[in-house]
Amino acid sequence: MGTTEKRMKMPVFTLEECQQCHMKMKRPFKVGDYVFSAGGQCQNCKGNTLIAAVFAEKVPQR
Amino acid sequence: MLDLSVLQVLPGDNPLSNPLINVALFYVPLILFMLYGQKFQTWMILNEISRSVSRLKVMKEKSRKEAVEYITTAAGPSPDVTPRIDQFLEYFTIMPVDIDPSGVMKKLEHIVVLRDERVRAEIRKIAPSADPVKASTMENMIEAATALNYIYKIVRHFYLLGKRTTSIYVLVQLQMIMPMILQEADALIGAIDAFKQIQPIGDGIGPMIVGKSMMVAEKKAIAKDTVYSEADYKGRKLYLLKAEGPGGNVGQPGTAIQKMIEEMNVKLDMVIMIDAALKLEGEKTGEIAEGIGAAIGGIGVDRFKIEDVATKHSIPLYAIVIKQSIIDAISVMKKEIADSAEKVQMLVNRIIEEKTKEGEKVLVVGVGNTLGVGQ
Repeated sequence: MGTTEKRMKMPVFTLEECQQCHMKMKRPFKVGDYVFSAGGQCQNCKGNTLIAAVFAEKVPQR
Repeated sequence: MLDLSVLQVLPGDNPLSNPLINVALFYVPLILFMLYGQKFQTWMILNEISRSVSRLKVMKEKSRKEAVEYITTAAGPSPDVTPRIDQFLEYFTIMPVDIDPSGVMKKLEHIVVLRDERVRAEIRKIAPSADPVKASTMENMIEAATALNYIYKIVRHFYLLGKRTTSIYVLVQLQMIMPMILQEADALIGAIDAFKQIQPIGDGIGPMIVGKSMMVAEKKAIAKDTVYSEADYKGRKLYLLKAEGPGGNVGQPGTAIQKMIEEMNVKLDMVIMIDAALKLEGEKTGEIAEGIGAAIGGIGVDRFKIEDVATKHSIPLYAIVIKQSIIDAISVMKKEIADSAEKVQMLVNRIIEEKTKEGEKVLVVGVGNTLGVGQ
């Protein structure tokens, strides 16, 4: 199995950070997400979130 | 128990004592290997290279298909773009003659700018309604497909040359560099997925760190696809520079720094450059290193301009690099790389506090492809 094939299986996540309470929320990447664009609503304080990072992360195998 | 009596054509207890069998078992293979050993080795190498060439062909076809699909979708209802893209995959650039190196940088810049403009003009013709982000994505995808097409053609050329001439020396050289070639091709294929979805790549860590500080400030254009902002930090004036995102641009940091110092007359006391750097085997992805000099890759035009203007005005150049492999640099940013952003920011702050005084001016440059990273 090539390196790329292994990498392709790494899911991509979007990390949103609340502008008010600074809570960080990780969710699967959606097309249209880009770093420093407006995110959604904070689950904790209902404030506005900002996309702080988009990254690929290895998910531990069960 | 195995009955060896059938081998005993001549008298004797041990079949190996039979001279005919002895010759057949030891001398015949020895002579065969002496006579045909190299041919056998050539055949083995040819088989191995043939498999790699087939793999490269699959990658080349995949990148072409992805580029055609993306551009066709983005271009909307327009005539078939496939022949134009196919023609573009064969596009080449002739680098300037460097036998007389005087003035070669200007010639190099002229050629590179011309190439970029030509690619953009072609994309504008194919997809006139595409927004700048999609246009830069198309540009990146075509570049990756062109690179894969070129790699495949060169490897195939040497494979066929070695096969035709049965020259083991040509084939052995190709076999030796094949793992590195495949690694690069793997990286390009990984990049296409990131480009298509406008996801940040490992090389975008520099723009990501600087972009964060630029978010609340006003963004001003300074060079082609390059923006800067002004900010204050502990009494120092900061100038923050990066390529304009979220499209896949690298901007022109060299031209921008030159313009800032020589045309805008900004008296800089320090320049800090943040970039991704290729890690050595054994080094960890996302490791941070600090040094001196212009941290910028590419063909050398930007680095030349930055070094030139910094030397002329005696501006110290500080460099911070985030280590990653070639695959990491052009594939979707790994978590380890994204996690290094905070540590790098702390390092930048520490350098500014230690090496400059209040009232001084510092330029922080985020070098790299800003795909999927705004500001």
